Amino acid sequence: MADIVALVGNPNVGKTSLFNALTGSRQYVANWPGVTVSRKEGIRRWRGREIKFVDLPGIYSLGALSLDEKITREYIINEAPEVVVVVVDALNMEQGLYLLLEVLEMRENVMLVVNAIDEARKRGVYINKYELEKHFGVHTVLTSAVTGEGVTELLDKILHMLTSKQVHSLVEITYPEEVEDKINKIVEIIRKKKELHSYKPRWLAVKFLEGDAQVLELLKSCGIEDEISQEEHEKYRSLIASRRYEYIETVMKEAVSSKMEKMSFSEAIDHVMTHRFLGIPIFLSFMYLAFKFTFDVMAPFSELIDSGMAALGDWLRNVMGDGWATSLVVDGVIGGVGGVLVFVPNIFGMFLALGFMEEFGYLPRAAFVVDRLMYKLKLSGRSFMSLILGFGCNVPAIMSTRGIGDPRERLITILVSPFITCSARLPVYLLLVGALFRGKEAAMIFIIYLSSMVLTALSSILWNKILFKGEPVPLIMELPRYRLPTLKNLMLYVWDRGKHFLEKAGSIILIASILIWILGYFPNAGDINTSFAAHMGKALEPIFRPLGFNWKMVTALIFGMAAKEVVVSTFSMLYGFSDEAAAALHQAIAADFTPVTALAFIFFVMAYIPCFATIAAIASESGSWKWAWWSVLYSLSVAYVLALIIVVVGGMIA
Amino acid sequence: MIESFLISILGGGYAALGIIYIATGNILWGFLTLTLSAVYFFGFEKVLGSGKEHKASHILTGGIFALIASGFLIIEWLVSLLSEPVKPTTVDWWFLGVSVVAFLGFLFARKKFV
Ligand SMILES: Nc1nc2c(ncn2[C@@H]2O[C@H](COP(=O)(O)OP(=O)(O)OP(=O)(O)O)[C@@H](O)[C@H]2O)c(=O)[nH]1
Ligand SMILES: [Mg+2]
Repeated sequence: MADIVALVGNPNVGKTSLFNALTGSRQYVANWPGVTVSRKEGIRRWRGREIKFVDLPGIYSLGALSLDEKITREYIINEAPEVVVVVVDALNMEQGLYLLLEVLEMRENVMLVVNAIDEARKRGVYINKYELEKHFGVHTVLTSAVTGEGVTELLDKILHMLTSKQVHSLVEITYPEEVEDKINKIVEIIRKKKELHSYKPRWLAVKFLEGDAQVLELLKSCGIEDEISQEEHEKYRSLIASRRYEYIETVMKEAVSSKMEKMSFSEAIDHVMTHRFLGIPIFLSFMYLAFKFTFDVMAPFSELIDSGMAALGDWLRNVMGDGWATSLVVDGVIGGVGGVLVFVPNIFGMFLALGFMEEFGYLPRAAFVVDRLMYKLKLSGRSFMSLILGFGCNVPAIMSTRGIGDPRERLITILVSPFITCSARLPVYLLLVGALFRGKEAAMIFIIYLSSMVLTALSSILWNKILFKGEPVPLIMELPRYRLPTLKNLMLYVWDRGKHFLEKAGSIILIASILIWILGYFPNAGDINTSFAAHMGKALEPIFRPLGFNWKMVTALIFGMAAKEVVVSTFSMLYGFSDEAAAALHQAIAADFTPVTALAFIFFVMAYIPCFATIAAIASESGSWKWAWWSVLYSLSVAYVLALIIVVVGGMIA
Repeated sequence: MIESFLISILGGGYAALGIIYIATGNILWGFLTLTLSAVYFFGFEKVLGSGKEHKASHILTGGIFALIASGFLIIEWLVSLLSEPVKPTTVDWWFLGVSVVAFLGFLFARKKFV
């Protein structure tokens, strides 16, 4: 059995970065609070001993509120890891040391890590770790997860704690007399209860006084009733908190020397980025640049892949001759999978832009800027942050809602997040926009994305009206420091996300492509208009006739339910069955669509049924399949109505 | 003194370029350029007591933006060489010119912060 070491600390202090450095894993790291939402484990062998590290969601204090905070609290209470490492940020230690004091009250064998020491040094902040060790009675290590400084020392110290039998960390702070009296009395009572022997009595007593819901319940189950009034709990809580801060302040005076008197770089930039009036146009500019990058800059690379695929197809056709096998490989696999792979550069570009925003620290600023707007939608900026993540993929966006404290707001955010255009829908837009709106691609894509955000906003108003009444919880979020992303981190980010897309291409898209090929080729050996696929599409076509979709589009929509990229695979097969070169795909599509139907189709794809993975995520995160089915039904109706409006209005204009 | 001078030059310069972009049909880039101009002009607003530091923060941020935007223009040209080359227009050249000044402003403002 490996010994277990848990990493806890405030959000965004670098726990996961440190965890990655310690274990060689590649867990998700980004510059905003609340990235890690579930427990992650990794093993490190060190000097012949196995140590299991556990990375946990960030937490401000042990009085847990949101779901991710509960995960952490419950872990350190119930799982009793051998060592708890409290990680604090070198440039923002107070809040972290507060947590340290709480953990120290709760258990033994605690260590302190002061991370991001590289940034502190750059700013002329010096930290004396011996002072920290003296005042908190814990081993202390200064680390930088980015440069790797202090990681070896940390491992050695952990090993030392694991091997030596003595109990570490013995400092206890004393509260004002009236609190101590009360604590002592409660401790007396708690000592008598056998069931509570696994807890530190003093910790239970302090939590009891603070009015911690979970501890109150625990004690109640052992027959200890809460006879203290709400106001008194409030009073104790503030007495206890101010004593802790007082203590921390004295320690900080001894341990930290700083030459900071000027405004910091981050503050200076924030003056503009979070400006009342400038904030919004700046956010839009960033978005526009991101799309320009995704489309214009990446386009030539897409074309390169496109012509590569076409050449490969031609070559295979020559080598293999005519026949169904050739058609399977060339039309089915190369057409279907290759048709999607063409957009790999765009998708990587998109992730590069998103990764930059996340690592730079812009995301929480954007949330802050739109918080006032969001308030009108009865949501907070925190939801907005989750939604932006959905531009990459809706699944992590839905996961990240665990950081939203208010359950009502969390549910609404989960329900509306599928409307945010994820990267899987990008190939569909790009294909149609490329075919019908030549020369205006970046602008069109930008508008489509904006519409997807407006749709999300309108939806949340609607859900709010239908489901809930109530006021949103105002956004309280710490803005992280701006950080220039390291090339390595950025590349890892892009690769981890992009890889997922490639894996999809090799699995679900490949299978879907072969299936579509079979349905498109048989029964009449390649006569697409009498194929099974045609029957299928034509059967449903009447429903979509008001929208002007033909059977090929309908078939594409059906297959696109598995993963939205498959819409593109279907198109490249149904429009590419005649062995023309890939460039002809655009022409074939342009012949079948008008700009209005193309737009209607794009909006339909934007809104209709989330992919399977997203539906599953909605079910698991909202806690019931009911919501998942609602979401399917709702998005289908919205998609239909939206497309209809576009066709009608477009018809009037054209 | 230097702060106000830089803000006037850069804010004015980008405003003019933004209007020209929009007039020539490049609406989105025009919007971008006007935003850039606004970043400078809002530096005159006195929210923070210390006017000088406040202005410097706008010059700093404007410089970063200008750098990113110019980077985009240049990358776009370079990449377009691979397929259909895009010719930079006169306004684009002016944009780059003003951005050089913006970058110098950035270097100047950088020293005021840690
Ligand atoms: N310069 C510097 N940056 C760091 C260091 N450690 C972490 N970072 C950066 O800090 C940010 C947050 O890192 P994470 O590891 O995601 O932080 P976390 O504590 O796991 O955050 P949550 O999961 O949200 O609680 C990222 O942008 C990291 O690149 C460090 O030692 N030095
Ligand atoms: Mg983390």
